[in-house]
Amino acid sequence: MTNYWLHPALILIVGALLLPLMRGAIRRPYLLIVPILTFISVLGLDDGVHGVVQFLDWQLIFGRVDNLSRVFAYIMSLMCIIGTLFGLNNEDDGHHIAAWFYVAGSIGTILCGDFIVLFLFWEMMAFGSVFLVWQRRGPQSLATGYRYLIIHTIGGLFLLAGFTLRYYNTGGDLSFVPLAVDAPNLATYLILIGFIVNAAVPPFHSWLPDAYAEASVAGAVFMCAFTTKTAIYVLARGFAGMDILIPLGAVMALYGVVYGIIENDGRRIFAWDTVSQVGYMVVGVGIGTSLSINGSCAHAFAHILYNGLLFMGTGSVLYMTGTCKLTELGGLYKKMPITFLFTLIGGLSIAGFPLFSGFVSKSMIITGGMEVHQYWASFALILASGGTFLLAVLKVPYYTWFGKNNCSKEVWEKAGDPPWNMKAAMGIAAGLCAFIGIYTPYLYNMLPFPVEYHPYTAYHLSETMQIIGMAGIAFFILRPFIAPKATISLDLDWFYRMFGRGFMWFDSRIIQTIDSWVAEIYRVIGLWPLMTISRFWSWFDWHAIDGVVDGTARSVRAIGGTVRRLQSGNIQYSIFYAATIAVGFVLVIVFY
Amino acid sequence: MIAFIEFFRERMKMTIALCLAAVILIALWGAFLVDTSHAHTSMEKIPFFWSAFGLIGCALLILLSRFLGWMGIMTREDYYDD
Repeated sequence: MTNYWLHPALILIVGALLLPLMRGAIRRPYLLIVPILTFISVLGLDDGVHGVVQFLDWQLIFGRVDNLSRVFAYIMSLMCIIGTLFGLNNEDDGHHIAAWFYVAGSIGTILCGDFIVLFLFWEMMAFGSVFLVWQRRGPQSLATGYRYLIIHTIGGLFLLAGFTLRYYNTGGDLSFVPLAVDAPNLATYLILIGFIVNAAVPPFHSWLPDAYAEASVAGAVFMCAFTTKTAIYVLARGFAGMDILIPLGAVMALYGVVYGIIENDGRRIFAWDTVSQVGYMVVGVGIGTSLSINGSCAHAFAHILYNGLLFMGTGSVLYMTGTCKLTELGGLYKKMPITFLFTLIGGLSIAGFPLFSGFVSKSMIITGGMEVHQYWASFALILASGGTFLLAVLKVPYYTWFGKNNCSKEVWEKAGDPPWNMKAAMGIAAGLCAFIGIYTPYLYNMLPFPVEYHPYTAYHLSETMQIIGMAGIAFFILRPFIAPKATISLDLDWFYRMFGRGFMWFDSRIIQTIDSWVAEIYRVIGLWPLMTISRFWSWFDWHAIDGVVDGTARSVRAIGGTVRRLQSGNIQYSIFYAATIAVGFVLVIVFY
Repeated sequence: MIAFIEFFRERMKMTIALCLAAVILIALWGAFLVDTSHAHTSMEKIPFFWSAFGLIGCALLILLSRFLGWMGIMTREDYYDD
């Protein structure tokens, strides 16, 4: 390192590596101290370029701090505290290590200044977060995790291809700066695809509801915050003003609402709502004016908090009762009143109800769209906010906490407000959602451009209240059509699930048959003579050579027997060990 | 908190009437008292525009979603299991 600048992500990485040593009474305080230290180090970041490392021919930039990266690093490290507090009662070290590596990947991506460092942290995010899916250990978790990993690896390869091509085209430029969005070439599009896979822009969105609904309870709280909003950061950095993002984002905002309306699983509904809300930010980036970029940043900030809150609320229902399917819940306000209150605050925030965070953030994007005459996109976003109100304030709360009580006896008995740390985490997030909505300078002063926007005008209030009121009436009249049904919804993941199935069929029937023929032939012709010869040499080596020399082979075998126990045969454990070693290796290279 | 909720649940008709009254009052306020000179499009100056937009838009969203579901997107929960 060229100076003593401390990278905030490094605190999380080292903290995660030391976590297994923390036992007993020290463990819980330690779990809170590490993210708090990270947050403090983000607060202390000075503007400018830090952490410049010469690596081979390239100058790697680990710390670019400016108005844009600071607001994202701030909210990511803040959410890390809330998410860790929510999962504090999780005794599995693996959860916290995966979550911190994931957040470190996100903060590293936000602070990086070139594509190589970006790629490094980008992949760290994917590999950290996939463990949050696997740690659910449900019947679907393993398959879902692999689907998630494959999609993100493919997205990462697009990004790699894109910046390599750009490096070649520009004669050696790796810096991550605004790209030429007015005259995009192949490299620009490849990088864009890499980014929008993580932003879950259709048609690359199916991984999101799939993974978030299958992740562990505390894991989903992390996942819903970091991947998509980090993608919004890199889009805002590289692709501000890219026109194609406007229609993509507008479609995304409505697509998520439509799927949310027919979905039954509470967490999956909010996963679809995430797709919808990220659509707003994608539109904001596509418009690319200072108002709309401010809007995208503000909305990402607000979204991380209220979305985390919604996943904490529905996660608490899942944690306590064992289900979050709306058809198996109802009437829970008597058993979980505090969870209800916090989840309702999250719902009001996501729907943009006055005095809550969504009201002051998403309207910046819509106004930004109106000002540049993007009327279709703006009206689509306004409609989507009516739809969001239907989902987050009416559908999920009504069928979880009110409505007909469909709880089984077992669910009803288990239901209750969750442990203190989960309530505290929800309380902090809920408090911030209301605070942002009431005291706008807190958020507005952090945004990349000076803000001249005032959300609390009579016109904006009346527009919002009319739409929300009418959404309520539409819900009341059309309740039979929005009532949850015990179904799942087919989506574009159908294609790759079926492709995977076809591939497995081809592999297990055709390749396997050929393979067993070859093995049989080999066994008959080649193996027997080979085994006889090797048995002789093995006997000779063991008794003659090793016995005579120093017994090295016997010692190695004893060590091998111990190491063998680490090898469970499950590839995800191998990925875990390999990823840990790789991170250690990179740390050693970069910092020493 | 629970007592507060139950107060309204026991008086369901009154609660519904209160909500309805609030929606109507908001619509009337928006249509006649709010200054629309800063609206971005001329449509927005039509009285009750946002109320109509909200009602029709949300109703269409619900019906469209359910229609797509009925077309085959909504399927049995064990669809991917076999």
